[in-house]
Amino acid sequence: MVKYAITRILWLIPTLLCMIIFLFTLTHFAPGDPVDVMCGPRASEETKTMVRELFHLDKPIHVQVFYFIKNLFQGNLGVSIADREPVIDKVMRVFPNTVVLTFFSMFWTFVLALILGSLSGIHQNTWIDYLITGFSFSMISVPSFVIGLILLLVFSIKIPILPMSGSGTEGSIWSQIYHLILPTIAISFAWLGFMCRTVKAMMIEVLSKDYVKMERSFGVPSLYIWGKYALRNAAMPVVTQLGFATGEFLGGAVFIEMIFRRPGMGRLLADSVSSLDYPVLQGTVFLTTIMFVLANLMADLSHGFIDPRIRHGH
Amino acid sequence: MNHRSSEYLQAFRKSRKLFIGTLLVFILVTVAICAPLLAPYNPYKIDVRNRLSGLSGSHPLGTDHLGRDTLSQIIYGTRTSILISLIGTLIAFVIGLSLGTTAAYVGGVIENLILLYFDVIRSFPAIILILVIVSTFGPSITTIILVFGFIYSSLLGRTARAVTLSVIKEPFMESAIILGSKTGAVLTRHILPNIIGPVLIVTGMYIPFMIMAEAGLSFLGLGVPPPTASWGSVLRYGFENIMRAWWLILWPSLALALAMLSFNLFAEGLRDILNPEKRGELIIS
Repeated sequence: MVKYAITRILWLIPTLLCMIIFLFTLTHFAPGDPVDVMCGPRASEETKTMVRELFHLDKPIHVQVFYFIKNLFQGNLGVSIADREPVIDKVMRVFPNTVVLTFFSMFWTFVLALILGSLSGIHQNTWIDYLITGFSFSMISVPSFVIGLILLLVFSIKIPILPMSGSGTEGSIWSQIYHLILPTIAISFAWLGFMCRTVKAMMIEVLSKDYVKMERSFGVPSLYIWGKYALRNAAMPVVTQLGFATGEFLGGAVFIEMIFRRPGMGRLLADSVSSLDYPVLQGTVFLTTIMFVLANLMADLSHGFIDPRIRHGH
Repeated sequence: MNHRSSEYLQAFRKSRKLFIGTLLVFILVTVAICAPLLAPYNPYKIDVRNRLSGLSGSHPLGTDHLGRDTLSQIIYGTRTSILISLIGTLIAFVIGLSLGTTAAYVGGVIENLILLYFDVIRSFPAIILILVIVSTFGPSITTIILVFGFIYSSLLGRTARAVTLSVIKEPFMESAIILGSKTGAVLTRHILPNIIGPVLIVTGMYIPFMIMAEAGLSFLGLGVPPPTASWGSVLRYGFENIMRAWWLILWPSLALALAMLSFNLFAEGLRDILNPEKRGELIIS
């Protein structure tokens, strides 16, 4: 296990390095000269040369990549082309919003998947099971932005009970939770289907095990069996799956933040894409990717730590 | 009735999902091909007098902000969606299969390089990477298809590699090599038939993802360039006019959900037939 963890972490180094080089090269070949945008149309050649030297834009691309990585290690992600604000400040202002949204969505996906999946596993082949299975299958086929748009249409416009836009007044927890309801439902429902089915499959498997049958024959209450054996076994794959699906949640946040006009990384990314603000684009993609890679790593390693069979290399 | 077609009939009898999925996919493809015959209007014809008009006899699903007929836009949108997702899948399948098998079969430095490539692509959240690449190269149908093929090939490639590795360990492989089969023959006669099933199952599961990604890109205004009809673009018009035109959100949503559902049913049905012991489990985890 330890050996596996070390290889897994060491493998991250070339992966991340290539990821950064790939990201940098990609945006480097994007259309438009950043210097023209930064200096404005009437800038003299001298100013342009100065700016070019300042940002190392006159050097060959491999040198630029080197500076880019060196700056990254110093926590410097460059400055926005649009308003020259340091990218790191821009990103950090909205970062917590996205983390809260993603975390809440994952949390509710987890809780609801355990409840619905268990119900359909315990009451297999009854109308409850059919209802939940039908619900999960249809949710798998609906993207989060569609759910978001429909929720917005129904609950903010036709029946105006929930807010349309923004992330709530600063400092007021209730207002912020109030603003989180629809976006969270939109992101979590899109992934609930997948997780429900995992829980159901685990539930059926565990409940058919001999030790569960034996406990049952001893008269142990089913709620106890359910909580002690089944739920624990079913929770593990869901945690792992959630870890691997972090990227999908973060991707979903791009759309949801746009639809509900919430300030966040996704909105920042979408805006920088449309205004061709490459430093901001690089910065947001870089941080989002790092978050995703770390979540993946944790999911991978926690897999081993939660399950002793894997930890001891069986 | 010949042997082959009776085999298909059997498969349909065994899996209702496959039957319904195939039927729906068939309908979708037909709609895509016959779009000009089915659409009541030219989807690009602007009619400002009828802008954002609701459901009526002449426009059964309403019109958008330029007075274009929504039903016709949805029908032509099927074309865009099916074209992009199917060609994208084909590219992903070919690249993923060749890279994955090569990695497993050759091993050594080449395997590590291919794995590194897979992992670098996989380290980005898929939709975000798609957004960045498409915005860099400028949105066009060709760019979108190539980007989809490129990104999903790295996801497919891992499956192809894992399956190939397990096939290589089988005793019949060893005997084939000892008996002097050439590399080409080993690959086509022994490895390919054994890995094609599992790889196809996973490939099928990526089609709905591509349909979703295409709609998502168009929703953000980074998909197929206007005026090409796309469900995602109609959704965007709906979002921009959300106070007045609910139909611009509802119809493309239904079309999108139906298309994703069809391919999901198809892929899961395929899995149930090709790999019966995995019935009911998830393919992508």
